[in-house]
Amino acid sequence: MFLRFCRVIFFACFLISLCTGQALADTLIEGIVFSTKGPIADAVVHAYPDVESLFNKKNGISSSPGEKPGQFKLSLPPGNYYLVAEGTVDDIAMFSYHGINPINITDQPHWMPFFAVDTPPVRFEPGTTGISGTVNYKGTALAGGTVSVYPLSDKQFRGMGLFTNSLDEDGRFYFDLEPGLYVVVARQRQQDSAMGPLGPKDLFCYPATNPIPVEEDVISDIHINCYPRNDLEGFLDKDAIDPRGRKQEGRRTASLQDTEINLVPDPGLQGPRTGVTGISGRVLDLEGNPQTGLYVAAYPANGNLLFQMHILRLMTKFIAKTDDNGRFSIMLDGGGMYYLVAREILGQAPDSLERYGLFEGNANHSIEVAPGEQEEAVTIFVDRIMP
Amino acid sequence: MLIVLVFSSCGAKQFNPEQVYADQVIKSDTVWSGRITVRGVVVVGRSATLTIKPGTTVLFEKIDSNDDGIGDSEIRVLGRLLAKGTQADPILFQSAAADPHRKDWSYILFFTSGQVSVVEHCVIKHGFSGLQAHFSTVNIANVTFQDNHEGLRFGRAKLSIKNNRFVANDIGIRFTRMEGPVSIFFNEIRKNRIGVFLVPSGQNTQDFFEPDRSGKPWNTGRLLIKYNNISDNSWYNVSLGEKQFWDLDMPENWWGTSDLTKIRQTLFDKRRDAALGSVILEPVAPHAVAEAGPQPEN
Repeated sequence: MFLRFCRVIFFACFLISLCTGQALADTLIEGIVFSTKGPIADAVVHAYPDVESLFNKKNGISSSPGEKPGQFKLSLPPGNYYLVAEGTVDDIAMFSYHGINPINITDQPHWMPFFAVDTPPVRFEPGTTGISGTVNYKGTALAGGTVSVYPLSDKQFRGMGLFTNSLDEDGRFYFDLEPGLYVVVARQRQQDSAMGPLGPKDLFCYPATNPIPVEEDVISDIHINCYPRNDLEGFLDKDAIDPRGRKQEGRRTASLQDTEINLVPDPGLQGPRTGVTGISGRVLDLEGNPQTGLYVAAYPANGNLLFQMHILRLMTKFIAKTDDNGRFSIMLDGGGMYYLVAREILGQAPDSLERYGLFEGNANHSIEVAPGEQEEAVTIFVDRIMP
Repeated sequence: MLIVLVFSSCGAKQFNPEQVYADQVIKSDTVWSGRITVRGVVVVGRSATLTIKPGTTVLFEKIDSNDDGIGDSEIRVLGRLLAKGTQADPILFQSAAADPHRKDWSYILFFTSGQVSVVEHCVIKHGFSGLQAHFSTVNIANVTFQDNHEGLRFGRAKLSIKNNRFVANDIGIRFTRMEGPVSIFFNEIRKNRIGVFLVPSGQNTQDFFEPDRSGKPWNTGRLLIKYNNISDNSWYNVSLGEKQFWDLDMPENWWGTSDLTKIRQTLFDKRRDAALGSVILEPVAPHAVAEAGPQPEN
């Protein structure tokens, strides 16, 4: 009976695909998984369609080995995925959570590197209800970083989360929490900034033990190891196997794609601000409807006083997301000229039918912000490009 | 900031105002005719259509505010451009200088436009690029690109490039992505320095080192270059840029000869630099493609 049912379902799907003409081709994702000792020979990358699948390790699509040790190939239908890598080094389990999860996979192939680290198991001890722990990078306590705790409903695990604390000089932290499940992420930025995307060499720290369970009168003590963004040189041990060999010199390092985005909290929820430099406004479609969930990015002109396309390929840490009314607010760390863009996807070239728009208040798509001032009521119109 | 200047020279048969467009965004549907001068950057806003009538002359003033040797004036299309000339009354886009040169102005740039634009029966001269198309959909037909640094440049875009003439440019067609859908059919690409130039964009690669790829590119079949006459380009008929290691299919084009050895001498590909991909010529068209180049409108 069950087999007959399956055949019926299969045939129905086949008919639907014939009728709609939709035969979505899978996108090839390739890359490599490193530990500090070099490529992880038995590495496997898993792609999960949602947070629930990620944490339950269900509904995943797993990679096959690539052409060289540590490399992988993964075919995915276009969509959003949580990508993680696993493998072993000297019988120790290694794990990596990609910093920009969930990742939008389009029909473009991608090359994705992963840095994997080990995670000791969670220790549960009687005490105050909450999570404590330590954060390290290559065996050294991460003094001066931050650690954030998120509810599972967050799904992106970016920004300030439920709480954000600074790590003490021993890399330790503690959160007083209600019983439940939580995701913990630590970060350390090279520059003195608590928000914005991680830059090169900034550290990202996501333990394989996430989500962390918290029970009444129990402390969940965790240990988190970090990896650097776009700094293979710094990550590999000195005696590690460097797959680049002599070709290393002059090769490119990672690009904008491997960007972690921390969204700036909506200042509307924080009350009025004075003396803060920023840009706020709305994103609308051509009919005037507010556009929800779009990224708005402000690119510092940095002396480029004429708009040029390549500026939009550079990195910016000034990013916000529109709310249900299409409103956005970007906090800046200084005055100056900024180019403004609203779009659905960050870190990739614009794609067909993506909602996209430049600021059209002038022919230069730029806005001048005075230090300590707010440029308000800025409107950006978007529509679906490249029809 | 629309400035309307009125010229009423003696003996003029027709009152013909000259319109000068300085830096501005066109935000509602607009029609150009007669003589238009572009002084700076004119943006066709996302909600607007700019229609240019047959016989219109669009002159770009040379302004080089950042002193990079390239004129700043340009038309940037976020909305839609309908520039439909006729064979008898083409639309002219060219330098406003009395002694015009290549790079006097930037380009007509289609950037993230949300509508399908059309450029037909036009003559485009003296630009850095005549047209550039990125993340946009454009139909380009019966256009003469002449005396530009580049006739046409494109990256990711949906393009139909048909029955155009690329002549006397430094580069006829330059593109940075082997993806599409892009069709380049029935064009005449002659007497440029380089006829067709493919360079890698690097925008899709996030890596610590480049993978050792070989063989067919992933998007075979979305970029089609067929039925063109490509010959007499003084440096190369086709050149692959540094690190461009994909093979480029260019079947059924006419190269001024059917002698494969002679044709290959006009290519810069794997045969000259082992790190590059190959231009795949076969099958070669047996004779010049009669329908190539601008054609009368139906």
